[in-house]
Amino acid sequence: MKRLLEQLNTTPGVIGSMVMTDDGIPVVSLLGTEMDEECVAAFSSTVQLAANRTAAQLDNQHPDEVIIEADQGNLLLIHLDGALLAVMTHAGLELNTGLLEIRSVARRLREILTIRTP
Amino acid sequence: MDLFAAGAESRLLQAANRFGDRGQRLAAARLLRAGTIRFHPWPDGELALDQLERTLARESLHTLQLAVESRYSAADAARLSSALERLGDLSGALGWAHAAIEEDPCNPEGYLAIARGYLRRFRRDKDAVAGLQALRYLTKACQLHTGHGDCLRSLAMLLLLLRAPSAAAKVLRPISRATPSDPMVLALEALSAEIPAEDTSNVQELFLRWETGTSPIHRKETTAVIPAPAEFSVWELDGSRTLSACSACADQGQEMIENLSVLAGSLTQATTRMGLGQIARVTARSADGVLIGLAEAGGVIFSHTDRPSLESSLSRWLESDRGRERSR
Repeated sequence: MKRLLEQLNTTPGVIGSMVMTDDGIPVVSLLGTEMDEECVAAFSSTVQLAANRTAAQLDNQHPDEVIIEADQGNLLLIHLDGALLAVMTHAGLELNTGLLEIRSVARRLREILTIRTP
Repeated sequence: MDLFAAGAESRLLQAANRFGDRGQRLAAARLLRAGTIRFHPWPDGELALDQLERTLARESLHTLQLAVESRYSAADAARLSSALERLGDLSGALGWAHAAIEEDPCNPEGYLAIARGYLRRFRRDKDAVAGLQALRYLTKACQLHTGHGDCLRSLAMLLLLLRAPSAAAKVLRPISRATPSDPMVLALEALSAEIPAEDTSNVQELFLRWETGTSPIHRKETTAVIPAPAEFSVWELDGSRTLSACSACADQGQEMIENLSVLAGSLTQATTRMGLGQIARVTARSADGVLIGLAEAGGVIFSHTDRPSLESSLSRWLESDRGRERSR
């Protein structure tokens, strides 16, 4: 899992990434020294939970991905079946290109999680 | 004599001291813990509790270290973690708590040890991140062992700090039935008489209210209409997270509006606190729909379509001036 996050962090524009449980408990974190793991985990799961509740009411299901764009950076939250991948990127990153790589890593992380929780 | 009545701080402190003098220091700590919630903020009580908990931790440290070395168990590691946390060794505390979770992920004690540290920080520093983390770990611990007294007391404590007596009462129900004179139950009863019952069961909404000191007031009669294509539902929330306008076909149910309001508040809070600056846009994609939110003039405008193939049209519509047209 750590190796996949290391690979993800080499994607241009990606600042850091982490995997946490659905309830916001960090599992693996490669966020870099400038970012507070606790803070990212707490707020990522808060946003994901709020988005889940809203989407569940609108679409009867949870969103597969939530992309938050802010003026100093972006946060991408990808649902991993029981876990959550959070990726932080620089502001202004071309999200479509980076997102393909992030989705590919998410797929592989999902496979690992499926193997570990039969 | 009611130790939790308004103005009874000094009486409660004396009662805790008497427990301490009789060697019943755990009972004294439990009383003070409830008192610090009942009379929050209560610096004298916090100080007395801090001193007592530190003394208890110092005295038990050696025994706990021996226990961990001789018969390593998740419960021993969690107890050592709690003692170290009280003595200020935060990295040691976190290390042992994680060791407890690794040793037995289904034992609530490791999660509870971490939660207690966060809860203390939340109470002392009014740190929202600590509060959210305390909630996560307490929820986990409560899920693993429903009816665990310390988990329930800590969760109720957090809810009372968020001024949610109804939610706290629900959490404490098993304890109040079994031990109605439990200090936390008495503190809850006293607080319930003073704090009006909360009108939401959404704990994220409670956190937002606690942090901003305000709550949104949605009124259908003051909600403007946004003309929008039939396949798009649109809602506009102002800076206080109150619904100010929506499209004719948008769901205006209380739960829907509260969910959007919480999402708007959480996004604003999250990007700022994570160092990402001001929220500009959010996109949530599921197999059966897309929700896009755009931040503007202190508020957020959300739009949804249940046809993912229309995401680009939705985005274009939202970014055009049409998303801001209203008729009252």
